[in-house]
Amino acid sequence: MKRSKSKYLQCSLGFRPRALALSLAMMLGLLSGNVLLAQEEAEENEPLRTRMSLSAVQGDEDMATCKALVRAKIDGRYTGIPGLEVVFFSITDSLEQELGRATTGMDGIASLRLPKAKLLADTSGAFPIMAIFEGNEEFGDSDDEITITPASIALEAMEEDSSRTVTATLESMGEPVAETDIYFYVKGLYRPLRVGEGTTDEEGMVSIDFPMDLPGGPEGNVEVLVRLEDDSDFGTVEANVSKAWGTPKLMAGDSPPRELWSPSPPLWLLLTFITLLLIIWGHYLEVIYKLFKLRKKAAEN
Amino acid sequence: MKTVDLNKKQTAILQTFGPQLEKSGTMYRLWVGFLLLMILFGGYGLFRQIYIGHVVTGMRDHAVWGYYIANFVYFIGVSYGTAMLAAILYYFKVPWGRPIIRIAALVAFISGVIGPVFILLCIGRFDRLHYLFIHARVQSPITWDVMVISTYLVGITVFTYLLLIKDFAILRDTDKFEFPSWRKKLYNALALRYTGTSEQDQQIGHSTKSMAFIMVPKVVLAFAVLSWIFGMTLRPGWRSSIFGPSYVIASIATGIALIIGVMWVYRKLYKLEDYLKDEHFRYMSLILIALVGAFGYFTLSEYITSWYTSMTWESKVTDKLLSFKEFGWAFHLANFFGIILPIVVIAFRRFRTPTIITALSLLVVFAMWVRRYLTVVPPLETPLLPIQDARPEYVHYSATWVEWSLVLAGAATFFIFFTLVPKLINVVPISDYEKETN
Repeated sequence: MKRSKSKYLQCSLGFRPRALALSLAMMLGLLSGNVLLAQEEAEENEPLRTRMSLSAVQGDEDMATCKALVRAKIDGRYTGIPGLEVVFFSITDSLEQELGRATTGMDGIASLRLPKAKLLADTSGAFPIMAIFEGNEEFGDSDDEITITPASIALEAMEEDSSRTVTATLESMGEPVAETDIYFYVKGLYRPLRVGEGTTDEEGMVSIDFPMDLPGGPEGNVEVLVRLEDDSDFGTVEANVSKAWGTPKLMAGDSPPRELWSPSPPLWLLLTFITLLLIIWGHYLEVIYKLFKLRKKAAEN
Repeated sequence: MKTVDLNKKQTAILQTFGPQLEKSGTMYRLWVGFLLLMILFGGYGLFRQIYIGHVVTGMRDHAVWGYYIANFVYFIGVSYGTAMLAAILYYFKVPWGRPIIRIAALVAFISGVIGPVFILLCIGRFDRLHYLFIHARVQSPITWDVMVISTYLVGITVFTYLLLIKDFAILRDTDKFEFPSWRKKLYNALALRYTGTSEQDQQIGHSTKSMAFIMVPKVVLAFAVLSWIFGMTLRPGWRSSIFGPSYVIASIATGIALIIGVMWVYRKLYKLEDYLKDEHFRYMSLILIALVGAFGYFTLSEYITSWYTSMTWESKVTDKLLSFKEFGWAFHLANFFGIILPIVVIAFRRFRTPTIITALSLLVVFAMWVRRYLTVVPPLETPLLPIQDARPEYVHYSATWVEWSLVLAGAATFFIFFTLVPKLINVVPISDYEKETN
């Protein structure tokens, strides 16, 4: 089946004009290059087979985020495909409900954030979720299904004397979850910085000592992030809290003070300046004094 | 009251200068009248500038400096350079330097008075002038410059005055000329009751020598501070560690070239061939080519390093200076007439005549002014963040008639000083010949 490049790009990127789509595809760099090559292959073959990996993040405020990664094998490597529409469902034995649709981004991931209350629970109280990519002319369909057990992390950040402690309590359906690894981070500009980890005890609790020397924003705020990562039962569960535990740091773009480098001159500069002026003006005054003396002396004689 | 005794040589010098001190011819009056007219024209330009504002000048958002700053840097540099020469010749008692010291000090004093006036012309708000002192910040090179120039002006005034005291006393005591009473009174006041006693000689000699001694480091400091105003600004064409030494050398060379010109004019006008001899011109010309040679080396070093490293912003300025479509003609001609030609011509002994040396010196004087202009304007016309759709006159500096009128008025003031000074005091110091009898 013959297909033009523009047709492929219309589907994958969602733009109609061929030239614009081509230009954008060029700008996508390596990924785009791979996609274009894939398109050439697609001209000769059947739609490329795709794979989907579905995951879920249970966050604060009873919200959940479903993430579907759609990949296809291009040049022998599985690569995320952008621009594909994914439909998310909540499915139980008796009911099926569409949760919403999302399009894959540059990394091939389609994300849908929604309240947990929208998810249908099965008889055990868990949430079965399904994501489907229906396929198109270039890429074949794929789907995935997971079941997550509702869980949440309660965070407590305490400061006593000269120590700071962060305590996380992992619970699932009102019961503490023991023997589970929890990681502690501080949010950064590009990626979170890990500051500690631990395993929950019988009460589902784990604590770490928070470092005292971290840089913060202009007001010293740091965002503490606690995470249970990719658990087979719970998926990813996370919680965060903001604390003024960092050292205040001026960010680029903040207004600088109205001075060159300090409101008052450095001592060495001041001393040099005054010393030089004193030497020279002292010298002048001596010479001028002598001239007056010359005149006075001549008058006396 | 005891009077200053003169020997035969001193009496002869006094008689040589007599007519010039006593009378003024028609040509002299016409010349002074012409200079006054130029100053008056500049006064009208200044009135327009104050009344309407700086919009009457060619200075705009990008090129915020122009002729005024170029002239300021030029005149103050000449002043520093000639002051340094006068101080060195005096301190080391260079035998041939005796008749030159006074001329050098006068050039230093007059240039030192005129230079800062151009800064005042550049200031848009005269009413805020005192802010320089009441809001002075020691961190600012501008504050350093204000303090250094004020200090320098006092220093060069005292130094020049010390060099003149004895001659004021001689003119006070002479009965060979019919001076008006106001001049007699003036000489009397300025002579400080000097009568030529050994104690007075010793005291004046000691004071002058100590002023000469301190003049050299002070002038180097003043040079450095002025050059740092540019050198400490993050702008291509300015931010260069060689800016200070290069400015020092160029200014001393310009000062020497100007002194040669003044020497030649005074020698012709007042028949001073016995005092300002050919050898004086030869010695000065040799110092001149040594200095312009050093300046040429600094110029090469400054621009070749900037050109070779090819930093985008730096290259833009260098390209402008080298391109004949922009500042290339001015840059290359200034280097040719200011550096190469004097070295090549003066290198031949047979060309070392006062007239040829003076002609070359005047070329150096003009070429160095062009180099000052090229230091100030092209970097300002090369902004880091160009304003989009800016009017061409905002980017490219072009002097208006108002600026020309004030530049000409400045030059006229410079000339009028040199015209009036020989009416007040003899150009060759009579007192320096007290130990010679013929």
